Amino acid sequence: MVFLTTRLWLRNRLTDRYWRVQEVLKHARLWINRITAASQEHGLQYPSLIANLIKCQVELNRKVLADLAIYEPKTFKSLAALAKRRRQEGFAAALGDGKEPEGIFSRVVQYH
Amino acid sequence: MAAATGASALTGTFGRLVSACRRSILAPSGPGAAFFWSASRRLSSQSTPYPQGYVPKTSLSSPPWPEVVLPDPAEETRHHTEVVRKVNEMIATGQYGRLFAVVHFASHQWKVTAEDLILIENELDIKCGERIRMEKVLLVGADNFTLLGKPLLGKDLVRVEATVIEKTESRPKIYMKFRRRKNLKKHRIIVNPQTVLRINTIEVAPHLL
Repeated sequence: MVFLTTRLWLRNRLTDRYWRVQEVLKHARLWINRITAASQEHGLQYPSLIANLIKCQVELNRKVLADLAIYEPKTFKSLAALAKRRRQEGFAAALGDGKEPEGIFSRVVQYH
Repeated sequence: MAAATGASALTGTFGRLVSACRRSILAPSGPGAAFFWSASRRLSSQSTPYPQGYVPKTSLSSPPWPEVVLPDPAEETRHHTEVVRKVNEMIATGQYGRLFAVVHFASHQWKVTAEDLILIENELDIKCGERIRMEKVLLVGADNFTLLGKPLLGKDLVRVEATVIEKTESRPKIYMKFRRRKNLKKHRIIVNPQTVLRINTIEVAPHLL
């Protein structure tokens, strides 16, 4: 077979299923980038937003989150605030009392 | 010359002795150090008394993450009940414009308003013109409030109705495999059934707790 460009030759070498999968992933990457941008506007990072929304049992997928970020900015702001609050609560729960276990030397030096 | 050198030598040694004494006085070592410092602080009445547990700011005196204070739980509960009451009132009096909803249907999530068209890539086994209620609603919003489900909202809270408009087939898509010199050639035409739905109404009821 004759391929007039390298791109066409590459398309023939890889399987069709690979290209069909890439089409789907292209959409997913676009949504993820959009959600990252919108969450950065509200002072959050994308992994933190997604993880904390899942922990709050809000099961919205990336397509819908990207649509909300574009067309419903107030709703996205409230979702970002929810994720931020859940994140802080998670940190507070992890820190506990603020006391350190005995016999452990950590960065925070206690004065006597 | 000799006298001058002698005097300078004396002063030099005397200075070193004095500095040694001063060093030893100013920096007592051992467990008595803290007691010495606190005693001196108590004795000197002119200095401002530091609060209990005061630690001067150094790179290790506090954790490297920013300190976050969560609001008081009782006050927060009051604020939450107030917000819920206001939203309930808004829904009851109908102070909202166009509602949008996020609906889980046919294994996809759709962001939907009234008079929307939806294309579903399979057959639903429903006759054309029949009215459907979509029950899995994840989110309902208006201009001034949003209701989020964890993960779904109650059926007594939201009602999303749709009608089946059209049942059609997709364009013929070609599925072909060809491997040169290996006698591999498959040729198949795939036509998917499709359904078109129109979302008629989204209704909210004031049943918030």
